[in-house]
Amino acid sequence: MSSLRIRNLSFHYGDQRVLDGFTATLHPGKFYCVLGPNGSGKTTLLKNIQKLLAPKKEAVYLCGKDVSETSIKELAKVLATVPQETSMTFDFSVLDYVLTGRAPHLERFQRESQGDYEAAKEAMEHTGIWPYQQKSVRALSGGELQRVIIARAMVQDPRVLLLDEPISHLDLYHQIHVLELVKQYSRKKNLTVVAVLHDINLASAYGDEMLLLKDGKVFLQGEPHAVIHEQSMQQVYGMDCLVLENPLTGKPHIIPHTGERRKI
Amino acid sequence: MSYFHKKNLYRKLFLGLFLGLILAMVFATTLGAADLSFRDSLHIFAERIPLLRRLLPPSTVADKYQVILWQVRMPRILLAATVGMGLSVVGAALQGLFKNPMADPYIMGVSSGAALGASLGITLLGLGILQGGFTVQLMAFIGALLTVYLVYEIAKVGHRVPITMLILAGVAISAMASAMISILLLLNRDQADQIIFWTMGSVAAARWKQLMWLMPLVMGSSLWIYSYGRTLNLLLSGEDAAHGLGVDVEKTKKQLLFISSITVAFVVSVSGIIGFVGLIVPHGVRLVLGGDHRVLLPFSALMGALFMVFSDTLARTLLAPMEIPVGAVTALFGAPYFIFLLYRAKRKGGFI
Repeated sequence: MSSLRIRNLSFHYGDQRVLDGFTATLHPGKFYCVLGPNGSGKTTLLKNIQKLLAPKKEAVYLCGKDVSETSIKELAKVLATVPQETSMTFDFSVLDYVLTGRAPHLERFQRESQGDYEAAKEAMEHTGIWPYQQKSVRALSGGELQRVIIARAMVQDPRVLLLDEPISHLDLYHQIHVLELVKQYSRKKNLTVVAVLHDINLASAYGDEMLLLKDGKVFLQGEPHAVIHEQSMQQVYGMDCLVLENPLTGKPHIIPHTGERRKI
Repeated sequence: MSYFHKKNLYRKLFLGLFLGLILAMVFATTLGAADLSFRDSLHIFAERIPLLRRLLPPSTVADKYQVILWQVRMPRILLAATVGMGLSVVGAALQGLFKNPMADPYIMGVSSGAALGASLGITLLGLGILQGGFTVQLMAFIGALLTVYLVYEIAKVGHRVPITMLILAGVAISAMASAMISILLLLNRDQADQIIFWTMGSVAAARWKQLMWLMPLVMGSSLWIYSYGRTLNLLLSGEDAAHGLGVDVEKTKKQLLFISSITVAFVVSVSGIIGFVGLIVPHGVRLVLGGDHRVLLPFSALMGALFMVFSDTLARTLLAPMEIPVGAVTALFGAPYFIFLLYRAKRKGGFI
């Protein structure tokens, strides 16, 4: 069964059509990278899946359920999101913060149980933040914080994980580290990952499948080799680039043509 | 330390402080013009408890003291505690909901609306157009709710209620209500004293009859607000993040604004405008115990009650037999404390 199915999804902001008959089917255990230029509808797509914007009826199905008819709490049981950046205005300990990921599974007066604690511990050990459990979330660096957010998303125990440019604020080490963590976890739990990434080369290295967006619809979907090539880059980004094979991964690697050339 | 590991500690601390509050309230009954010992006070209370009465030796306290204690001081102290509790819990919740340290129970204009209602009531009573003992209270209540409704309607954008819009609409409507009060004051100099006294707040007119409905109401709504503890925590990491964790943000906002407004409208209609309690008590608790709403809300309730009992006791004993309006006492003690908080925030570079 597909974990996320989007059927002919359109969305307007006023007169402006942002998604135009978007259609795609995503399967469990796969890492999907959503690529596309600014304004191609990536964020609007995520917001429709999250129900932050109201999607049309019978357009978005998450684990077989129509998102437009699912309550926000039910949705949070199967869908977790890691945003680009999270502002920390309050002094929570890292452990308490990660435990908030259990919220969708708890009733109003129910307290976190020992089982919830064990789940938090496992996720925190997996992401390497267990040693900071008593530290305040405000005292963390950007990379540590993003790992805390990912641990929280894991504790939420979702079927689908959305990542909205999760690494754009991180240094190179943390970019790789975060993507590795997510990839391992998705393999282990047979989780569907949908990541919006701006770095096409990282997307190509980590994604099982690419969704290349143009003008609010899927321009190309498939394995990196099938999607990332000189022709598609020209058509979608309007940019000439050289596409090589990454000698380490065997995946396509792009080098944009820039003004400066070395003289031979 | 994390909340998960400290749950039991908080429970003990809460019970300890609760006992402290009860003792403080009994102690407060002994203070005043008629001199009573702590023992006499305790004895009078113990006699009211059916089973305990049989075990006690007969009271040696004169009957008139019993009346002073039971009919005058006790309702007043209980009202002070109830008002302090309601204002502090609502203040804590709204500071969290608005993510704004300056938020207080009156942020949506409840106070000025109530004041306008009360002023109108006092004026109309003075002119003989309206009659009846509850007129001012009723008018204050209606004024408070109408104002909040107006602010809410102005701030609403479709199905959403942006917090910034609420604050701005609250400021505008409050200014308008204050202007109308000034005009009323000018036109009715005879009742000016009464209006000014009402706006400074007092619990002197406390009666058991009022307490019978106000106390359960404030306790019930405090408990209701407490049930939003975890949700308020989630909202602190942003509305979108809270949504992602299963919080229906707009619905939560509406429910919390509704229960807060009703609670404050009831409190204010009985006590007048008592400032600063709902602002500084939550900040004080937050500084000592942290910002987790599962801790902040119950301890704000206790400390709010304690602070109001303390302030009101000062209000009626400090310049006895003259009485200082309790709103003036809370501000007198609250303002310097608030300024201290501001200085601290400047030094640390962050607020909450």
